[in-house]
Amino acid sequence: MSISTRNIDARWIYLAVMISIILPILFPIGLPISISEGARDVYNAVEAVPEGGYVIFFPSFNYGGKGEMFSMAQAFIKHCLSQNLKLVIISFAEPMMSLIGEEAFLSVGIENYGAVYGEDIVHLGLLAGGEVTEAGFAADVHALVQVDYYGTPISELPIMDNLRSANDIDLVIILTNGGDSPAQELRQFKTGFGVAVTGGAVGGVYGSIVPYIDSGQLSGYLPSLRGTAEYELLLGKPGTAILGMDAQSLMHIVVLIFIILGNLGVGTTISKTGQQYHREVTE
Amino acid sequence: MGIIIPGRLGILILFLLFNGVILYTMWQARQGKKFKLRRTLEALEFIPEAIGRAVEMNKPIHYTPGGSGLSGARGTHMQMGFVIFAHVARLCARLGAGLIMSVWQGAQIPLAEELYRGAYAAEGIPDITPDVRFYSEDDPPYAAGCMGAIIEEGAVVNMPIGGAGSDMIFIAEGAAQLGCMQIGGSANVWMMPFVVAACDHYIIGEELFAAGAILSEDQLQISGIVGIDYNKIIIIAIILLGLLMNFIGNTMMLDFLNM
Amino acid sequence: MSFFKQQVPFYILVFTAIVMIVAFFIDIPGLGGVATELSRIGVPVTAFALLLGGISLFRRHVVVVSKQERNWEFSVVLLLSFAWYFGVNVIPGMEVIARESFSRVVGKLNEGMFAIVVPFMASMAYRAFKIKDANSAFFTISAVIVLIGNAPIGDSLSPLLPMARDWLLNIPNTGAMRAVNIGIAFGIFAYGLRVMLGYERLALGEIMEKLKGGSQ
Repeated sequence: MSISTRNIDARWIYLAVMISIILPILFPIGLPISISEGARDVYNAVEAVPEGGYVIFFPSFNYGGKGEMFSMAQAFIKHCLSQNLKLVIISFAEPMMSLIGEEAFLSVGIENYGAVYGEDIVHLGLLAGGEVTEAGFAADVHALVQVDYYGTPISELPIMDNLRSANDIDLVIILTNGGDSPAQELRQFKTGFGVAVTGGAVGGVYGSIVPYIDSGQLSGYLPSLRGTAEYELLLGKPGTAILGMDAQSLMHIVVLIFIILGNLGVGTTISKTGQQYHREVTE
Repeated sequence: MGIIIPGRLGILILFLLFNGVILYTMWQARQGKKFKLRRTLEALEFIPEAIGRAVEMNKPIHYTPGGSGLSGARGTHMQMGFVIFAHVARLCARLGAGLIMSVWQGAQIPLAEELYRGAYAAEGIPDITPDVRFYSEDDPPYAAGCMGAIIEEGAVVNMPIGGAGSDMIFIAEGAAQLGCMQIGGSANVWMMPFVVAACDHYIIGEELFAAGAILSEDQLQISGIVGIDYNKIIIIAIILLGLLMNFIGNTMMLDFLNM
Repeated sequence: MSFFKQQVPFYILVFTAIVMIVAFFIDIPGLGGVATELSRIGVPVTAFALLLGGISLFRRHVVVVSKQERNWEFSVVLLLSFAWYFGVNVIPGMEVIARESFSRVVGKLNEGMFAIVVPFMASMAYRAFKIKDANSAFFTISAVIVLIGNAPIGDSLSPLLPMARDWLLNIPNTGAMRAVNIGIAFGIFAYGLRVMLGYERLALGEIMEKLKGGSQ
């Protein structure tokens, strides 16, 4: 039998990764989590919105990104409501984002923050059309939106009275797991109207968003579960993101071990009799 | 009479400048000037080899222009994916390789079928039934459908080239696990690392547009690429000038861009 | 017929593009309203595109079931699901059932599918991060630093790891991403210009002429 670490069957990798994720969730380690400048920038961006200010919240992630982003959505909603901000949830991309947006604010329990639907928070549902519709929304909200997600005319929702265009918006929060966000929100809200934009993204997308943070176009951005954990610590409201940090640490270590094994290329040959073994180092 | 919206004059000037440069090169192409792109794309040169491999093994090729619609920024990547598909389809017809095309959007089916039939007709096979498959407009089922097609049909070459979304992770890695030879392409900045990691040969970023121009052999497209290169020289000059001015404490460049 | 299939869409495209571009830069009274109305048109157009996809899927799988092609049993499941979700979304009073059945079934299936991303990325990393030369060494070492620096264990191992991660993301990665973004933006720019000038044959469905050796 010959085993080479340069050609490990992927299924062993999958098994090791699964175990490295499940074990710390069942038996938490409690590794310390430091808070980065990025998370503080995001926190400060929300804190900077005056009481009663309008925050537009785009949960632009589908069920695939829910594992990473749902706790982030909950954290943002909690923060905005605890600051007595007016939160407007809307989606421009696909219907399931509206469903997730609804799940997020229902799971938070807005009444715990003294918020009333229609006065402090509203869910406008899906406005299909992508960036073109976003541009229209930024220019004239009431021209594009007639009813909320539940079919209530916006004339019956006090929160919509003073929201006419992007000029009335204080902050845009965009949570994304891909697509053209947050670039299109930066184009329509930041470049067009000077509205501050912040939010978060899944890990795979975050690297491509760093240039926008560095240039100051984004007022900070949270990277995936790690960013959410830091944000939860800043809020003082621990959530599911913190639970996942130990699993993330162990999983990354496992991946690192496999990368090292793949580069070592050590081959071990065990003879048929199993009585002796011969170690060969392959290049 | 309208006035320029505050904060957009600098952008407007640059917009007109960049447009002007590309329009100039396109005008030159229409006047008969022949442009040539000096750099070749390695991935394009591997396409015939990949198709030849499929022919030798008597197995089909799987092509997907990725999980994106035909509109928006990623729509342009999809368009390039279809241009490259037309080229791949012609080679498949010429060499006798089977070809499976997966599309992400129902609206893309007629376009894909038209390209498929046209490519085979151009090679003297007018009665081909296009093997164009549509699974879903959602990434996970689309990716599952593509992976299923690769497994069931035993495809030995996979080409995810175009407007890739998160479906690319599944399709490219799944095909890699099956031992498929892969030529991938994406101008989606957050998918490019996955294309590079999973595929044997790749076209990333603006190479996708250059690939479309090279394969179309259309002087207008090639002149557009040349215009882009001239614009990049202008951008580099602006960056260097801005750096120098910033270094000496002059904010004129910054003020111009914020006008 | 060619006028309606090719010229009319082209004129609509050019008119819309010009209005949207001019409205972005110049404050002309009334033009902003036109631009907003045009962007509103995008809503039903996108919705129709979604409808087209659904109809294509439905037709294809009805054929599969009627001819009992390979895996036709799965097509039956698809058609039944199609009927269910169509029904609960159309019949009044079923909104809660529609949302719950979608989020508890389709949502969970999607989440499960995306759970595969993690082991896939692990196997991708194992296969891709092989040190063969200087480039691949830099690639692999950077990846390892970001991998460990991103997890809380990186903070515990050394304060240098998060610093190195931040430097890699903020300096080389940012520079490279900006350059790539500029190139891609120009590519989209040039493509849009060709479409507006009528030179982009694919957008107007003239690729067949090219394949048949038609005039340029």
